[in-house]
Amino acid sequence: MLPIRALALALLVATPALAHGPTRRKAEETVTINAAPDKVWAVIANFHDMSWDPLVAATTGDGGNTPQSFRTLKLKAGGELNDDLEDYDAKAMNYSTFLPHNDPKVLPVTNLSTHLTVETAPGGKSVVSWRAAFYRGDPKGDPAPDQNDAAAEKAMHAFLRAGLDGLAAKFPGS
Amino acid sequence: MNPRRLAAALLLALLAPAAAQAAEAFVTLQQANAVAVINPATGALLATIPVPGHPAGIAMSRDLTRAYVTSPDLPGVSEIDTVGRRVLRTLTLPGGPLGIAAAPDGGALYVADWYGSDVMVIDTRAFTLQRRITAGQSPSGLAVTPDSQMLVVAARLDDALVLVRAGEDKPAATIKVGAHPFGVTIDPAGTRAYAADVESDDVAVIDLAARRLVTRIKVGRRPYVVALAGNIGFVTNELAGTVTPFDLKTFTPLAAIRVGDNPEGIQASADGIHLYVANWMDDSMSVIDAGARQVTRSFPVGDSPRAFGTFLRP
Repeated sequence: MLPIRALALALLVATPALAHGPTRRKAEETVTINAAPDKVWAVIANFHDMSWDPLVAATTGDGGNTPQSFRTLKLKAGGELNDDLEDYDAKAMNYSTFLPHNDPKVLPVTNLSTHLTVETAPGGKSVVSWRAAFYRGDPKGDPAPDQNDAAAEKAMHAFLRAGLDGLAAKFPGS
Repeated sequence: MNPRRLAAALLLALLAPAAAQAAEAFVTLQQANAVAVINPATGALLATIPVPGHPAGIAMSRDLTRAYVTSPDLPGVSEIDTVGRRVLRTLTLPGGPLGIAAAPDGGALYVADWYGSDVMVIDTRAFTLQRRITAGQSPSGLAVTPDSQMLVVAARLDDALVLVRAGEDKPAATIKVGAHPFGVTIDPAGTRAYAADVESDDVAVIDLAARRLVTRIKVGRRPYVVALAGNIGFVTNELAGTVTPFDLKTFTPLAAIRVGDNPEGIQASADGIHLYVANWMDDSMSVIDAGARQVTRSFPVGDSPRAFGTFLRP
């Protein structure tokens, strides 16, 4: 009896179709840039200037670089994202953002927070990491394929990757 | 003193300093589908227990021989033998089981369905679903008073704490707090409950006997759960990457302590000297000196630690 029960349990827990619960996901992308950290930070330091990100057409906002400052990112692909600044540390060269509400058709995630950090790398180079925490676009049970966990992770990785590649492209030799 | 007694006394003396600190932390690793057993004094990984379904919530039995772990994606709850370091039984449950609390008397285990409005009552001996309590919308954090007589539920989408007497199926009281309460913590005397209000960035203080809101303390961005150490409360601020201490007598917030990114579960050691914080984004744990209110150590623990509940042994 016992092996059969154990097998049944193993089958039960291995069935991905049982996925229901809302679990927060994370995505991280990094890029090594052929420039000193302060030079890289100078390009991304202004929360209201996302011209380094090839996905972004225009940025408007309140102009601040302090927590609770807010901006609207108009995307080239259409739609916009309204996020705010959560944490800003020019000395440590990082800032954090939060996107409380968004159209899941524009980006299939909800409750997105991000951390953008510049760190020193050997040989006078920099490593920029962009990390995101988010829930899938449809946080309820049984989401459509374009709003499930896999879709959210895929879209988020692509979003971060495109931004960092765009940033690296501004520095020759990266 | 005879030699055997002397040896025993020496052994006790040797063990005492170690016993003063939490010996083991059982950390739910959501994306690793596991619970890591960590020595929180050193950061050493003692064991990894596979637990499917993205484990998140955890509750220790009073005798510390069992840990109960919720998996929202299983969905269900797993019973872990904390000494043998293995899953003994798994119970599948409906909805999205997340918040969990064990009655100190060992009788009932309460599991909240984050998707629905029920708290499920599990018989710990039979390990079966016994009954359901209709508690409020999106029940999240759970806590039980030390006398096991009252369950406190954070009804997240009702912006309220719901009190349910042991053995009853309907709330005895509903108390409005701030926006979207998540974690709930009850003090050792069983007189007050503290709820972290995620959307309004405060901690709600509830007088359990009077069944009323005492005050709301402004803390950091998106508070998650409160831990208590002596006369100070400590709340993790998920979005700020900080822990805000606050005075339990004056309700004054103190200087925030920088920990890792997306800090979630937090618990004080039994002696109240240290606090342990699971940093979800950083895959790490921070150790806070409660007196100095500073991080004294941090170490990696594995992929996406939540540790939402009571996770220390002893």
